[in-house]
Amino acid sequence: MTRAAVPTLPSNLPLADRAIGRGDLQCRPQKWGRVLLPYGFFLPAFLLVAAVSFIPLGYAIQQSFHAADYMGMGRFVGLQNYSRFLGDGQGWRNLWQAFVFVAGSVAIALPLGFALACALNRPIRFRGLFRTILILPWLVSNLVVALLWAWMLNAQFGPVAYLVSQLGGTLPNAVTSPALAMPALIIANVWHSYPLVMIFVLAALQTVPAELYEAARIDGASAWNRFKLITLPMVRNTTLVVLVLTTLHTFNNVTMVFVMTGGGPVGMTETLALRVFVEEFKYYQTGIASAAAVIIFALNLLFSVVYIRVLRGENTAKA
Amino acid sequence: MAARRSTARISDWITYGALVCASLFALLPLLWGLSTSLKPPTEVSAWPPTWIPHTPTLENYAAVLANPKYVRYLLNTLGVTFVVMLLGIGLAAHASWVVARTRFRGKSAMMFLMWATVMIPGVSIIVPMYLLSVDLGLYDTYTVLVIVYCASVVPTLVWLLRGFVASIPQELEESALIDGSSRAGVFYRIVVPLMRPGFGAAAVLVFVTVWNEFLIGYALVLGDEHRLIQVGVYYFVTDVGIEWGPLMAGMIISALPIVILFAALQRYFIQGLTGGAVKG
Amino acid sequence: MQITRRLALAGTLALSLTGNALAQTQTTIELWSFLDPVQDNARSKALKHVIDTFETANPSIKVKTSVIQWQEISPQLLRAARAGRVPDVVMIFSPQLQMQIAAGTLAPLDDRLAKMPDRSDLVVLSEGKDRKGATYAVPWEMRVSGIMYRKDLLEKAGLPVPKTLPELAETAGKLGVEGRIGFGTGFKATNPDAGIAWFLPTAIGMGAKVLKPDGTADFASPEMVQLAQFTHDLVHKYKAMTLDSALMGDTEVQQLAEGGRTAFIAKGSHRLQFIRDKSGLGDNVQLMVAPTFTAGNPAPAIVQGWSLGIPRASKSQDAAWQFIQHWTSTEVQVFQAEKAGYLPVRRSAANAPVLKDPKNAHIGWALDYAAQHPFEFNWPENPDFLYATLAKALEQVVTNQAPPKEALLAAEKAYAAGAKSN
Repeated sequence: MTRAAVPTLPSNLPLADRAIGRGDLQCRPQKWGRVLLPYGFFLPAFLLVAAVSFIPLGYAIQQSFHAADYMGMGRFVGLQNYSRFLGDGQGWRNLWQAFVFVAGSVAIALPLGFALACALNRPIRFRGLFRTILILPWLVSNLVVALLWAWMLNAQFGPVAYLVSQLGGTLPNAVTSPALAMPALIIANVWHSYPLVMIFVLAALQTVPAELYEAARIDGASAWNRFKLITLPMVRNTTLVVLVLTTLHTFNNVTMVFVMTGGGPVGMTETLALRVFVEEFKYYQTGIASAAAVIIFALNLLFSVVYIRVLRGENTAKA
Repeated sequence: MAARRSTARISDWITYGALVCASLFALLPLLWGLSTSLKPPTEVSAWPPTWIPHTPTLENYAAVLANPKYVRYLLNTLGVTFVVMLLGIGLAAHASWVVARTRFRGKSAMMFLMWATVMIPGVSIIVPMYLLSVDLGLYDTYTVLVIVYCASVVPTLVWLLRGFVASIPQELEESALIDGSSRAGVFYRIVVPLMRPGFGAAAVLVFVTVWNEFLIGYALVLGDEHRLIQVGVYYFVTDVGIEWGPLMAGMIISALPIVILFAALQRYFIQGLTGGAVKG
Repeated sequence: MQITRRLALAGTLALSLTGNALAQTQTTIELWSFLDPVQDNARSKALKHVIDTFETANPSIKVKTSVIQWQEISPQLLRAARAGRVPDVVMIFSPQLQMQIAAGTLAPLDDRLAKMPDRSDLVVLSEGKDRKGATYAVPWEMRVSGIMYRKDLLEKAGLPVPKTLPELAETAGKLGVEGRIGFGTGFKATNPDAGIAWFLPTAIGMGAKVLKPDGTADFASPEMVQLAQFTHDLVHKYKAMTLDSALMGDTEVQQLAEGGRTAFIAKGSHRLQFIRDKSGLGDNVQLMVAPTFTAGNPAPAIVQGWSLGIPRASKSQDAAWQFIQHWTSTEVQVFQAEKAGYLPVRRSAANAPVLKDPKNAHIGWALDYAAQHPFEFNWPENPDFLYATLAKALEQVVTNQAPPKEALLAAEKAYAAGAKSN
């Protein structure tokens, strides 16, 4: 969650390497004198990042094999934390909730952001105004998103409940309704996530030369064919990047879920990331929390590897 | 020709319609929050709810700003964000330049490791981070916040700025070298000035990340001396419920700096992403 | 550069000098509080009064307040103790005390208490003691669990105050109309206080043990199964609650009550004045004992209270104790009770004339209830986990995901697994 607020761009490592790698070929390090300068420039950043990330990660992995609570780390217990986490069914339910949350959010945010990017890429009036308005939700923190939407959807005082009552229905309290809690969470998350998709895709669209479209139009290509044959291939990689970013943000998001629903009702919104947080900070079940934390990390890794593979495949296919 | 023009007009209307609908979706929660922040308590819980306050008041804002602690959280966050911005961008600028321009032993391994850290979810390592910061005597200090935030933004910034460096024509640097400039001199005198738009984009990223971060500010800070703004906003949730009026006022105050900064640097941000970073 | 460094050095020196000079005459103690004394509400103002009168009486001691959210104080103290950066006085809610005592964060207070002249006048909660009887915290306020009801609604419908659970359910079902919730309580697992603070004493009043003497779970007893079934029926048979309200958290239920949208609500004495003021209903909101299935045998009253402790690593323990003594003095206790509706923790304060005013009738009522039906329970170290485990089981029961017995057996297992790792 901590890294979720920004586009965690570096995840498209191979992509960037390919795009920018030419610097490597052209420069002549031997002419540039001392060998040490690159290290002097690179190592401070690298060591900081590595120390702050890998040392705690190592500790978390170690802790996941030990009994632990608020008093500290206890004896070695092998895989017991993992078997406890996955053994009673709750762990699997957490995974499923996380999946629903991710799939629901991505399935709406991605097409929405994409469509808005296409709309903003057209030569229309008030383009800058629309763009600024549409980016606003991204500038708002996860915490504020959760509170704003809880307030919007409040059954006692909120405007949505009033609208529903005017239409003759009653809106139950979205965050405590087993049927509505997850959809409410997804809507709030979509509201927060689509702008990033939009900005990225828009940026990619603007690199597509206008002449390409003109040429295609002269050749008599239909709008759909222009989209399929020019737009899509040009923005495919970017779209994959934001797909992964949105997935990771959503999968690792603790703040929004914690503040909006707290995982309830009946654990309907208790995602994997939230479970880690709650076990650790609410119930002091540090052992089980660290096992779940390692599982989340493993899933992030797995997911990124799959994604890098997909991208590599794409690139070789194109080349 | 006429047919084409009318299809164009129809698709224009569709575009405008979609953009207006989407803008409403984007704006309504924010406007609802703004409206609540301007209402007296009786109107906040009125039914039917009103979009435009009958008796608009600034009392919620006054109450929030009259609390010296809330102002302190804002200043704390501003300070930490500013230092992370300087330090993070500084570190990343140096690193991105050598990454884009030179080869050195271990480069790809180190780059891979650096980027792999992005895959580590914050919630997985937050407790070890707390324990380590306690052991190092850094728990509940600005220092630990700056270090952790820096580490979490630097990989992103390296990636972003590397795109910028790559878009700078290398001949400039080569001719400066031939003129007898040192390599470090080339970086500071030639490259840094040219990377300015990249710094703008980087600043937006750092600001949005650090200002909006909750979990680290929640777990690594004790008491209210070093508390950051997001935790401060969260503290409007009290044991007797949520006071929506002051909460919404507090939220709007907390979001203002970011909106102002974004408005100022928006151009760089979009340009930053199109300029080199995102190449479909 | 040189100049600025020298200036900075001089500044640091000057600061440390004045710091030392002041230290001889002035002590500053840090208080961790969930209430912010600068805010404009009855409880905050009462706290400000406590601090102001203390500072006036002890000019050499200043109190610095750190505001920490109510549910964060206990976890933060655990972390602070580990980091060696503790406050001098900390406010801990009594259910959280056992964990703090087990973790060794608090200093024992027995020697200090023994020197107190009017020691027997002061209430000490059992949760503030360890297994050997040593005391680690004293309350500065108390609350007694019970049920709030709307006198006006009962009168309008011509219904008596219910004496048994079925009567409560039927009455609440009848009053739960026109957008009102009949019986407001909720079992949201992350905020289950209202629901479990009703369920737990009621079950014990029925004869359930909840926890065995060794601390392991005994959830699936016939009494608890019966009460869980009753909870289910409150929603599905009596319509005394909606399913949504049964899944709410403590704060959401309370907000309903503030809006006058509940007939009954499982809430203790500490919220009476607050809800009366917020809802504008005044003394139409009244407290009653929590019934069981047998008339005349009410559930025992849980007595809890925000308590004051001195962290072991505090450097100003004497000043801290002076502050605690001031706060728990008869004078301050009477003031607090009068202005913010708190139950006093001193027997002498409870008898003060101002508290005999009809507006404060709940104080006498609550103290009597607690005295006549004391709640005997061996609190676990981690009551939050017990509450959450029970709440999850009840969530499943009311949503028909599991029958009562099955849900409680599963909860027993979950509780055992969680407790084992501790």
